[in-house]
Amino acid sequence: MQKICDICKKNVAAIHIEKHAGENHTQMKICCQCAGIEALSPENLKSEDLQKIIADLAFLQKPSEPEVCSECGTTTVDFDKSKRVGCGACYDNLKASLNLHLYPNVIQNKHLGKTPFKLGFEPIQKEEVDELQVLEAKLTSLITDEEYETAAKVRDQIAELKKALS
Amino acid sequence: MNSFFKNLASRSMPWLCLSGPSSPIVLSTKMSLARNIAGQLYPDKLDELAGLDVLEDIFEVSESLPDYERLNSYELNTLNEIEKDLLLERSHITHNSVFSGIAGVIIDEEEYFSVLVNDEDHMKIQVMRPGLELHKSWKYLTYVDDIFGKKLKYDFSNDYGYLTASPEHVGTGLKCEVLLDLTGLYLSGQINGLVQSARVFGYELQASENQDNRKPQGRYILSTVKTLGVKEEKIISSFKSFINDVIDAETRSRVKLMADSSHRIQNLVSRAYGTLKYNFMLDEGEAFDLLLTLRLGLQLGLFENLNFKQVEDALTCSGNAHLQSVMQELLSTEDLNKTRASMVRKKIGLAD
Repeated sequence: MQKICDICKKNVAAIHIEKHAGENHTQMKICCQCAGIEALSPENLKSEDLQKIIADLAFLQKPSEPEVCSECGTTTVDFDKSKRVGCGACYDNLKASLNLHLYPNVIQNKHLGKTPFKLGFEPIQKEEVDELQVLEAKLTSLITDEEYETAAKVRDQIAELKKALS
Repeated sequence: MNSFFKNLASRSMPWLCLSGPSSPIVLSTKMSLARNIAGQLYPDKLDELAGLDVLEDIFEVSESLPDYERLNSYELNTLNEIEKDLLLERSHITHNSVFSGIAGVIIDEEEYFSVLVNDEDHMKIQVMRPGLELHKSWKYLTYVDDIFGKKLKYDFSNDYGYLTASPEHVGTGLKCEVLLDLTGLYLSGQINGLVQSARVFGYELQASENQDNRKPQGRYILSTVKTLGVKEEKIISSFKSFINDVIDAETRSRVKLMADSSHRIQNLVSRAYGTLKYNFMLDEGEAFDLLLTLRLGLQLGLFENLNFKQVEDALTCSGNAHLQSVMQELLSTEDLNKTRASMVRKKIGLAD
């Protein structure tokens, strides 16, 4: 049985939307015309169109201007496509859209590994980052924020580290 | 074709085919560092002129590396198709770099060390060793990294460490990778569990792919993922202890498999042997699969008239580029498959 559009009650519905908010579940079926993509029939509806519709409907679409890196001209749109930055300055200029914390390689947003030399063979004065201190600071702030579950994990990390050091 | 490429074509990859610590379960160790030069755009954005400048700078610094006379440096666009294929097959270069006009490679005579220039990042310094040699590889890698780092100014930020084109490598820029033969776990159906637990520990375990995207049974690549917020030595030592657990699991499952259902393995191995003996056309992926199975049979002591070296030799000589460079001409697929069949038979002593 074909479903009829809830808005015009005339055409065949192509899009089915379910909204779950707590106890309330609402359903809606709409056709392409009512969804504002009249030129498209359900058969050749592309997934990009669908994403746009869903974003529009859910008010998720962010109309913000794309950021541009002043050094190399890479925009956030370029980055979304290639997942690569154009130069080192992008890390500062496009900081917000890189969302570094979302990457699985990132444990914490602070480099702890080796540091390079300055030209002329002088090693850069290494900012001494003690892993233990970092973790202890993190633990304190987590306890203040009452994030006990995460804090317990950090506590175990500290114990492990102390064990490894001794 | 110069003598370096002739040499390359005439022998198997030493880092893959020689035995090392923990082989034959760990076939090889590969470790790489991604580095970029400050003040330059990254290779994706570089124009040809600036790209060749970067290439030249890096080649120049490489002259101060130890054993410089044993290193060969090439701009990729000066190489012919067969030479590029040869480097690609032995994974010294990537598909991406083959088509870039500014990529280059520095590679040592024995293929244990290479630097890929202007691929994803300005430099990918890579060390390859047979078997499991993480600490030794790291020692060499960081030593070479320091030599480059003294003459080139690396792109570095206090927060994010070494900056890379992809945020996936930012921080240490270090990636460790081991090639494992997990036929036992694969045959006993435990491999998916291992993939899951690798993920829990922050590693990635995936079936290795060869040139034509076929996945040879039982051969897996385990690699590190974490790069930011953790020290290199820590990455390496925890990786090593995880690998040791995997080796234990694989050894146990092989013993169990041989005890409980040796006929399954014997069936698999004998079929591979039969196919290799009686075939006149063999494609690249099939040759790879069959030879690996044969090698498993060897490890379990099912053959007396074969040795590892023969099988390993056959493995590396069965690649398309190898066949072509040995024959000194471009061959059609059909001719390739014919040549491969007879070459493999000869290498493992099955020829009449």
